[in-house]
Amino acid sequence: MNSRVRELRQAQGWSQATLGQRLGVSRQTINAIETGKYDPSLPLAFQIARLFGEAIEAIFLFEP
Amino acid sequence: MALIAVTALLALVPGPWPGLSASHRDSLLGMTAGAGAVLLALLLVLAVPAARRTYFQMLEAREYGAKRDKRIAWLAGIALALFAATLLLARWAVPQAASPAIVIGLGLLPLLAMGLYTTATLLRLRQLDELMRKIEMESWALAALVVTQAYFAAWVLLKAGLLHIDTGNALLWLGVWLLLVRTGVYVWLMRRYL
Repeated sequence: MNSRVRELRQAQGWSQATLGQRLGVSRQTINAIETGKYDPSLPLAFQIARLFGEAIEAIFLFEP
Repeated sequence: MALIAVTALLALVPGPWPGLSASHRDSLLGMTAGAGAVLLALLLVLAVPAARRTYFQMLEAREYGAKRDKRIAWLAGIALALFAATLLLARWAVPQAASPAIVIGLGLLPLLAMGLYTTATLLRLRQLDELMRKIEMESWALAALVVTQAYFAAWVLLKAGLLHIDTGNALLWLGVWLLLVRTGVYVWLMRRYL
């Protein structure tokens, strides 16, 4: 799944480690989400959306 | 490494410990071979750049949730001590008295150790973040699938008379195979996701 997590994180000037700390996950998990290798769980996706103040579907772009 | 070398010497050279029986020497040698193999594997991982990178990524990702709970090390340590105590006590107690109470008590010790080790593993799993937990669970699941199928296949070959193995050793190696296959799958998944 494609996402705008990297774009939103960089707009805030945060490193992957900083975002990981804010979400309670490791830097590697953030990297895997940004590169599209891992789709986050629904609770984590909601946390990400809430942190950036956007809707989930505006951050995670589902392509069947 | 020094401890492994000293243990191997004790097992192989009769001089320093003449009272040590042949079966105890075999046990010591087996432990030495196991510890040596783990150390050698670690050195090989550190020597190959791609493997070293994956290994340190894994340590970093696991470290994220590992700071909170000291119970895990205690539970796992007590479990391993109980397994060792069962072996030592059984060698001493069973040939002497073999009263039903002692046999039942000794038989229950590994169950207690299993319970403690399982609790420690579950606590550890809950500390990991969701991606690391997924990798951990998938690697154990795949390893269990592969190893149980391999054991079933070996049992079929054994019954068909096409394979001759010592069943006692095969039981011991079950854990070793699980760990080996699980490590291989773990590394593959780490490289896939990270």
